[in-house]
Amino acid sequence: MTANFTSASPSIDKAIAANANYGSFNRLIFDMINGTTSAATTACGFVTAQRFPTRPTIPSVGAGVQGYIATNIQAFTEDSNTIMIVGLEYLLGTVLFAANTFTAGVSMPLKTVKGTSGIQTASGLTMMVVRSGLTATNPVITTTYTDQAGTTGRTCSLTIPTNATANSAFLMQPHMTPSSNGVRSVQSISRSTGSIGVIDVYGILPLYISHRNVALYNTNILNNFSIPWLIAPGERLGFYRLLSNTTCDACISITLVPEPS
Amino acid sequence: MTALQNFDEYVTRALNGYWARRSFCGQIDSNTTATLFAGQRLSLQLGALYTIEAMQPGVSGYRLTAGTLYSSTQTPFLIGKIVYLGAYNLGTGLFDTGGPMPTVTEGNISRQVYSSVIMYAASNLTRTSGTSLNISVQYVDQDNNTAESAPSVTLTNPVTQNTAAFLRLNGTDIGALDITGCSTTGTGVYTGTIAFLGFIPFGIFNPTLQTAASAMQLNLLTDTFSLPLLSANDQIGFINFSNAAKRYQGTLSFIGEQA
Repeated sequence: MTANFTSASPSIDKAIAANANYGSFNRLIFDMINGTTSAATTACGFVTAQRFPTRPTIPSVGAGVQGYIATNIQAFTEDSNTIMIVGLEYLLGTVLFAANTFTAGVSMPLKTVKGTSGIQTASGLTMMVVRSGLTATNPVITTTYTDQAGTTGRTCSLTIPTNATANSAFLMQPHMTPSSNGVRSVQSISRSTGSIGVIDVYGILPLYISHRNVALYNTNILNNFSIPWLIAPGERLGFYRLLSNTTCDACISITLVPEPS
Repeated sequence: MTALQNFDEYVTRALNGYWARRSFCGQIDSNTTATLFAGQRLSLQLGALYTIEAMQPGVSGYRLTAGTLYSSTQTPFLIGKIVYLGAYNLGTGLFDTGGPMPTVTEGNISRQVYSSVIMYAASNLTRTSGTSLNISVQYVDQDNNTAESAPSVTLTNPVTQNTAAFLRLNGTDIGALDITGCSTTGTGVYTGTIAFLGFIPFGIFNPTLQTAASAMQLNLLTDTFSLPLLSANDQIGFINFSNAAKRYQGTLSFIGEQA
């Protein structure tokens, strides 16, 4: 078989054949946020967000397969009027509050789209996430990054709520220059104050976004195959929820179809 | 004969009689309990299972291609393969060992798949004396660590049959390959049985476009492009996220994998 969704001529027939010949990846994952997280303010993302702790890793693949394409993802929580996001997640960098030390992460990956390889992706949904609870009064977190066009030295600052709790997530885009709000990589992260806690910055390539209406109806936007990102072995999925900071259970159903080499 | 390769072949097989439609139904006569244990937030319900029949002559397996589901209450249903991992009889304290999660071919590699674990009240759970009962489940995690023990949870009382919950695993564990045992602490004495089930999802019956009681469709040929291959005695389950009493019925369409 030859490449399908990453080629210039994808087809459902090829996907059906890839499923039959190589086998799809099907998983049901349960995750939870057990403590109330910190709500966003106008100084940190505007929209309240949470990150679930689980990060499933895409396992190895066999001969003739280069990875998977997400054809169906569904996510459920108990709360109405919230938004669930599932995406490929990349740890771009970390700051340890204790000594204000920065640890570099990865750059956003190169992807093949419609037969063109080596396309540099940029995160259009970049999250500042509290990995472990902070002890700090309104710390300002400043990130230096390379934007979607490759321009280096861009900066973005968020003022995080006092003593922000683990699994709180803050959207960085509103605090970037509008013309440079995609992120290829992060060069530094620093905090203004505080001595306890860890903050990570994640880049995301969204695979699924759904809005939960007034009941548990999964009114998803990207229900079906929409974004042909190749999900390569070793890459990880991340789960986020918007519009709530309460404790939460989540159930995520994932179907990935193998993508031939 | 190779596995189903494309739409044309699907049509040819259907015209040649390698097509089957089967009905299923479920009935949950009274509301199930919102929570199986203290702290559970997402209500879960699991009704009757559908068992794949013996293969017809010349057919080596059934590929699920589509389905319909009508429910008397509006809620989405996840459909998938149920794997019986074990059960714990609260009255006798005996654990019935089920099978592990299956080994499948995915991405052209054969491996055992992990699953979130569904705790399922296979019968009514009733406390007959004492106060509370805490239950802890031993499992093999997704990385084949064999001595994992899930954090203890306190059972609700009473719990209605068909009530379900996701087992809360340790730390960063994301699934289990097997359930190996169950233990309890506390003075509560219960009757009833909790089953532990794995679930391999196929898709969703989604009531998004309905405004009342829901008639929902599932088309794997166009929704997921992933047509699961099923064998005789495989069991299909329907998870929903409501604890309301309900009746549901529907159909499942299969195309035969020719022997």
